[in-house]
Amino acid sequence: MPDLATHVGLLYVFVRLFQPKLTIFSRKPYLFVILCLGTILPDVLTRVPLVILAREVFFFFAPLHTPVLLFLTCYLTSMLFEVNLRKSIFIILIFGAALHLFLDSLQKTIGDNGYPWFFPFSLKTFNFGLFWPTESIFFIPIILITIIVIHLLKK
Amino acid sequence: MFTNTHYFLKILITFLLVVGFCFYGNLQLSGKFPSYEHYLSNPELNHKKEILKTVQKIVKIYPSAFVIREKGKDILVKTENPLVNNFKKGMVIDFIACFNKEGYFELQRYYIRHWIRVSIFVSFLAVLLVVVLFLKYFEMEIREYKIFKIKKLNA
Repeated sequence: MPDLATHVGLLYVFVRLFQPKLTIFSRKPYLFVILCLGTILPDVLTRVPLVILAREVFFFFAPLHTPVLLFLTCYLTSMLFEVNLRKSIFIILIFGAALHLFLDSLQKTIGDNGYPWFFPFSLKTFNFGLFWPTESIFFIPIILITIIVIHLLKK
Repeated sequence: MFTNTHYFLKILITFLLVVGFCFYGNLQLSGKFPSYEHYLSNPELNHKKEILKTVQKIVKIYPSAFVIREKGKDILVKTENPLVNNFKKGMVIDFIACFNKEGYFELQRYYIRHWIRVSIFVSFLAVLLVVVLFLKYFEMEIREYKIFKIKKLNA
């Protein structure tokens, strides 16, 4: 997994670049926060229990990093909000989580230790293998500079 | 009354589905991906498959290889990864390697301990940022909702 700062940073760059089309985020800024929540959700669900509990629980929480279970978790999370907001929050959470999974699919893994994208239907794993997970930290300065440039240009 | 029951039923069913899939995933995935401890404790697997070496100090560096000392014995780990240039003598790394035909360890994947710490730290900062933004926007939303309700009552 690339670190969460890379996930959130790239998401910010993505939203700012497509701002003319994604006007919803300028009208309702809290939806951008929901989008960020969606993008950190897969790692928060699978990694936080490892920190709080023990390494042995890894395989129990690992399925929460797959599309089907993320769909259900996003639905469950959206149910905690007000009725009128639920649908938009659900869609935005899904969108954020999908961006997270897309970025994760680009990383390298050893052997079969990738993510089982089609769980529970298949345990077949697949990754594009462009970079190692921890190498994403080296992109953080570039992302930060991009964010600053975008900010300055928009002003 | 019906709406409330319907709402809680939906939450309960989704929650049970998620937990059920997690149990199923635990059974399936733990069988598919044996733990690294399993590799380490099985000498036969050690020589056939990739294994994880944790907290190893590098004792010597070559242009395309490095040496670790294990139980008083030096092990040469070969690599084609150009990022090996980042390695320094005495550096602590976690790595996965497998034996090649020549009997050398071939590096497949590694984590430099301090980069993992940096990765976890920036991830924590990202989560903190999202939580703060979430609380800030929703506090604003709640305040606006209360003002709207008071105005409605006054009218």
